[in-house]
Amino acid sequence: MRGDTKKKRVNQILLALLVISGFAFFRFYDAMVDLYNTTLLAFSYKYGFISRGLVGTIFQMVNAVLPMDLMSYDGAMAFTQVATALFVIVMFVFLRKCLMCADEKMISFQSYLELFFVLIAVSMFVSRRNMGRVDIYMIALSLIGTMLIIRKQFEFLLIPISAFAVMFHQGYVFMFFNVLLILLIYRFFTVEKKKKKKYAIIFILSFCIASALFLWFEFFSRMNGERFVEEIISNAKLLSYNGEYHDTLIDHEILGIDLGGVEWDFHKENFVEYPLFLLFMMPYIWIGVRLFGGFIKEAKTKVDKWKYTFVVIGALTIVPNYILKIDYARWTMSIVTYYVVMLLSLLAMQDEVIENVCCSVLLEIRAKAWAPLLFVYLILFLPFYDVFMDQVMHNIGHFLNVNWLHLWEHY
Amino acid sequence: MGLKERKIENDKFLFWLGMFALVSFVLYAPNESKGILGYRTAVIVYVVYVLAFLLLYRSILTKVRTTMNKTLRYLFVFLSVFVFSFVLTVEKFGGTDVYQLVLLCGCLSVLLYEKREWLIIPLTALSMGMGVGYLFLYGNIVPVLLLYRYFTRTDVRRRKYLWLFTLTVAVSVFMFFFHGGFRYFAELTLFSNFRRLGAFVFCFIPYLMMAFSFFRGLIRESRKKICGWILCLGGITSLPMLVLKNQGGSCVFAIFLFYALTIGMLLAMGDLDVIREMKRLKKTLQKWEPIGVFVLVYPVLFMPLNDAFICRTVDCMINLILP
Repeated sequence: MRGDTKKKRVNQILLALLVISGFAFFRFYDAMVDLYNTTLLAFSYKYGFISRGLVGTIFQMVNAVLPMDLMSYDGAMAFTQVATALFVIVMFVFLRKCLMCADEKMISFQSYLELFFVLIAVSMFVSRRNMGRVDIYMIALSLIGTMLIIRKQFEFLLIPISAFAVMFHQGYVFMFFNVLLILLIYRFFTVEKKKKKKYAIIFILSFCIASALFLWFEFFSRMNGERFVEEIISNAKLLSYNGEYHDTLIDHEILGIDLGGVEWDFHKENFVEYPLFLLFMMPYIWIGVRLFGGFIKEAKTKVDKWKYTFVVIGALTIVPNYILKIDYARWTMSIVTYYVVMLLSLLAMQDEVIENVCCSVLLEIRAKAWAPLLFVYLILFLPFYDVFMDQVMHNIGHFLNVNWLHLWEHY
Repeated sequence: MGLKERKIENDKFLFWLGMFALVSFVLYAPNESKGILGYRTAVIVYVVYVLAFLLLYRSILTKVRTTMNKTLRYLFVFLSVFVFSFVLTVEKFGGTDVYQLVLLCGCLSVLLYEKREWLIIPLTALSMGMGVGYLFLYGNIVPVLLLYRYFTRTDVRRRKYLWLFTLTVAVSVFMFFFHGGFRYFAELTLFSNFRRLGAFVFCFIPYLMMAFSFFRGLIRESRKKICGWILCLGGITSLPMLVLKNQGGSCVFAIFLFYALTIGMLLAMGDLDVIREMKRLKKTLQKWEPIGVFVLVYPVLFMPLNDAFICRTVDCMINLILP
């Protein structure tokens, strides 16, 4: 396929994805920013190098620069809408990059993967629970970093990118950092000897700086919270839709209060609903296992086997979150983002083993009885929430709890 | 693929379609039913409703040619997006539409197997007895198929279809007038949701283009052009319900139901003209792959349909763009 024909086809696919994103936006948009995400905008580095302070700092800097007063719910909504739009733009720039860099025979497969990702991401981050969630900044930064790795340009920027991402939310080290780290490992194993040093240095520096920032935010940044908590609460009330603020967020991130006991009820609900969710998701899990298992199986050398093994197990960084925290839907989004971005990136880098396995799995999927339902069925489980997986699982869990289990008391 | 393997694959497909129906129920089922038989009965009737459609799909998939099997699966996925969610609104759950559609599946099954086709008449009478809206919304499918059969058959049995058509229409019209006739439209709620309907039609332009291309080919190249026109125009009987009763969602659903089911039935009956046009459509969508698959996916973002504002997606679109 000539270059301009490929470009035309890619642009057509992106236009179709954009149209579907538009419909997904209208379908799932709640025109609301939840208490949690407005309260976060009240955090700022003027109170010190506090946990999750970056987004509030940016918001308050923009407020200082612009002639209008953003310290209201309407201002918070406007800021969030712009941020979400920028996230979508970054996502589409990434998707285009992957399509343009990949071999033309992989365009169909990549398009289906991109449709899968776009549906989940757009629906999740325009719905009420996740609109303005800092995850969009973290994913956007990971996508930018991934593009730099694919382009093999300015890869040193991964170091400040990782740092900024942790400053948005220290959970980045478990959620979306794995994409960049594993791609660096992949590059390390793939390039010739004289270039390995560069990737090793970038890996070590990114890892160390991100880890240091994580340790600071998690264990040392909450020491003087009482001095400025009242001001944060007062600003949070201005920014919210109902004049309230998210009390558990401030308790945990500003005052350093442990929420473990409070969250156990939600853990119980997740322990019931999540296995059921995985059961409903069997077709997608099957596809993932066939693909990523296939990469290891088809690897020709020992180095390749290690390379693909790292690719497969890279998502395990999210496991501590499943044990310690309750936002199972966000952890699921993190896993989906990891595997989708990984696959798109490796196809963009024209890895032959990846291409061959993807082609054969696509043929297998087409022969399956459930193939026509693949995307249509998925949409019923959207949007992903935060604590509860989605409305379907929440309805099932609620029914089981009320009629049989009686394990939790919240609704 | 042998017949046994095809049946197994069809059953697997229908199992997943049943899962789709189950998840739709979990997601959309209302907490109450306005039907007279109560909530529990409404749930049981919904299960029967889903099974009726799945069995109809199974019958059609079994009878259709192997080359059309996959195409029909996509058609049934498109139809099921609306069929399984349409009756899960508070207004429709446990209502007469559910029972009427179950009876419609019965009529189509007997027509497909060409056994005891006389049952169409009492089943139609029963549907009309439940609600005269049936005449406009769903009562067009069976007469159109009967007429189509009359015009396309050349054997001695073709007159039977003319009789069946005449009696079906006569029974429907009789039941309509028996239940008050045009007094049904005495209480008018004129359609006013033009912006939402316009937005919905705009969003479904790809489908309108596919339909235009399909019917243009069908009418131009059919052996009997009148069959093409009957099939093309048969779906407009629901328009009075749209214009005079403000039932936008019901009208849209009825139109989708009409075209999907009649085309499915004609494919199963081996109609060469419809098979030719579906093959052409399939080739066009394959040429546009993967965008062809995208087109199949996005209708699910417009479920469930309702009479108040067509669907949530269109309502949000209008509120944001043209408040």
